[in-house]
Amino acid sequence: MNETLLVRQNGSNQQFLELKEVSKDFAGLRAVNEVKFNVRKGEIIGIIGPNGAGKTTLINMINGFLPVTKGEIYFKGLKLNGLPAYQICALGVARIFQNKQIFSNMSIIENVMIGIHRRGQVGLLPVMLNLKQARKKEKQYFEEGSEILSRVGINLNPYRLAKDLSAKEQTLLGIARGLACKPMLFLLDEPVAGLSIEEIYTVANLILSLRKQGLTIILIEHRMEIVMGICDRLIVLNFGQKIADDIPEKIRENKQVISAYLGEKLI
Amino acid sequence: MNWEDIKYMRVVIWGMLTILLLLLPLFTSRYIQSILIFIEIYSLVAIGLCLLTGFAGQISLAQGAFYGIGAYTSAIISLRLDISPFLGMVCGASVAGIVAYVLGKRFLRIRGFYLALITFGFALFVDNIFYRFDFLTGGHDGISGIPNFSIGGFIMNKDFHYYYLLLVAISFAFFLARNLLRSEIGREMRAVDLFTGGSEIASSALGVNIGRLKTKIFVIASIYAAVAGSIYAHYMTHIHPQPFDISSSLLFLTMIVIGGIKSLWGGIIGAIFYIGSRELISYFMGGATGWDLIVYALVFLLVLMFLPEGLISFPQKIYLNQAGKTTPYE
Repeated sequence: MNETLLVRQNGSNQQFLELKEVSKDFAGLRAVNEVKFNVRKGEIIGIIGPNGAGKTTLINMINGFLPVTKGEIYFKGLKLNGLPAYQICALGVARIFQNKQIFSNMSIIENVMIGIHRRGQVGLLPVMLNLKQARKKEKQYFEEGSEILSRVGINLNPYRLAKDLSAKEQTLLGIARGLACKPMLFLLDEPVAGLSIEEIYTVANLILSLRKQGLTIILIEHRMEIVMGICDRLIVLNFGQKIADDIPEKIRENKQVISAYLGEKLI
Repeated sequence: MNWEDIKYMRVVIWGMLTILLLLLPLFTSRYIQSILIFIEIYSLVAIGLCLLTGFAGQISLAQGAFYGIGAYTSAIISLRLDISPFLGMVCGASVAGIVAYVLGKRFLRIRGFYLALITFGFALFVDNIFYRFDFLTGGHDGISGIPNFSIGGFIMNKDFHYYYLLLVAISFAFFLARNLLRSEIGREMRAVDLFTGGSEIASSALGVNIGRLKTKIFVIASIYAAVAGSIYAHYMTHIHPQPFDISSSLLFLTMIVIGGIKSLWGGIIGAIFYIGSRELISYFMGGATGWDLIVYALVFLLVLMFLPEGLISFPQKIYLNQAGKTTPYE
């Protein structure tokens, strides 16, 4: 894999994440139209826009779930186009999902351990013979998983089933699962949907603390107070077009954004 | 009943079962022993198929073909090259494993049931090779005079030798499969499996290479089938293509569905049920009347209708009904 990646390496590009005129067609319908922007290391970028503006589609393309119709996506100078999702994860891009996608019949700790696997597989034979090597690895997965869980603030019985958790705990578990992949870029798709105000503050503080630990974050969010509060820069999408890309204070005053998204009345 | 009692009872039941299995050849006729051997051979194939279908969510219609590849490779190599049949078994398992790897690598990357289609084609292909390549496989007549297994100077030419050999093989296969399910690979399989609350997209976003995961399981299932085929060949000392055709693949699939695909025991129960019902019916109806297949098909439909999780879920279902509880699916 490494060789193909080296071939893809583009020396001149040293942006952290770079989208070059990225488009996506669904059977003739253009969901994302020539969107381009850069993300610098350590930034929190908010992507906002009305329903159906193409926010999740954009994330799905960065993440490798959807093939890019046109344009190129570079992550640390590596071209992501055409790479499968598990390889993009290995490069250091994690994400959480709008509908959480928690492994509901697995325990909390197992949910997190899945993300750690990639960095330490022991191979089929030791696993099937249950050798010491494999058991030691399992223990390591468990310890690392517990450490990540306490880092995001889940202090529950790790053997509890994930489906029994509250919405907030599931959100935190989703973040823990993503962190288990040791990402550099974290894509958060509506992490606070369905949470109460206090819970939203908990998650927002967690996101800020992740940035302090060196993560770069792209956040899709509907709640304006959150994006305005924690994002360094906002990108506004409408009908698949990027209509603005600026700091939150400027976005608040941008006429085009107000009419497209916030509603004319607010003026 | 408290937990200590349950644990104690389990030990007792397991001990009794083990002793029974170990002593069985002492008070059974050769006929019964041959039936037990076939149950064991089919169980070995079925355990592998349970891993693939029940846990990795893929259907293979070529387990009969891999069973045949194991039998033929092992037979041809040990006959022509005059080497130990155990080495022949290793060769048969390797050939099956390599073929499964090539097929899996190409067709398990794609979501959906492409593996079922491609293994269907592959089973027909292998079956035709067994018939047409007579210089190698003996065509319709098959291969005769296959040597028995031998360890040192000891030749395994009695039925009960094979009964014990298979008992060891199944225990080992079961042990390996159980460890696999409890390991990181088993965890990834549960994470991918939609029917038990998993999610393919979430697991691939977390770095799980789903295609490679399923390929691993497919290779293991095929090796199990090939080992069973090899033991079959050296037990029978004569093979011909008919037991390895597409209908045998379908039979293995129905067996695990009847037994229960969500458990490794399901495969064994399915094999016991198939051989048991076949032998009982032919005993009472006299010879090969075709009634055994009719009854078997009927049971298959009834199980699908009333026990979709297989015969293995039967005690659990009765228990739940008695306690006035319902399963989460109802």
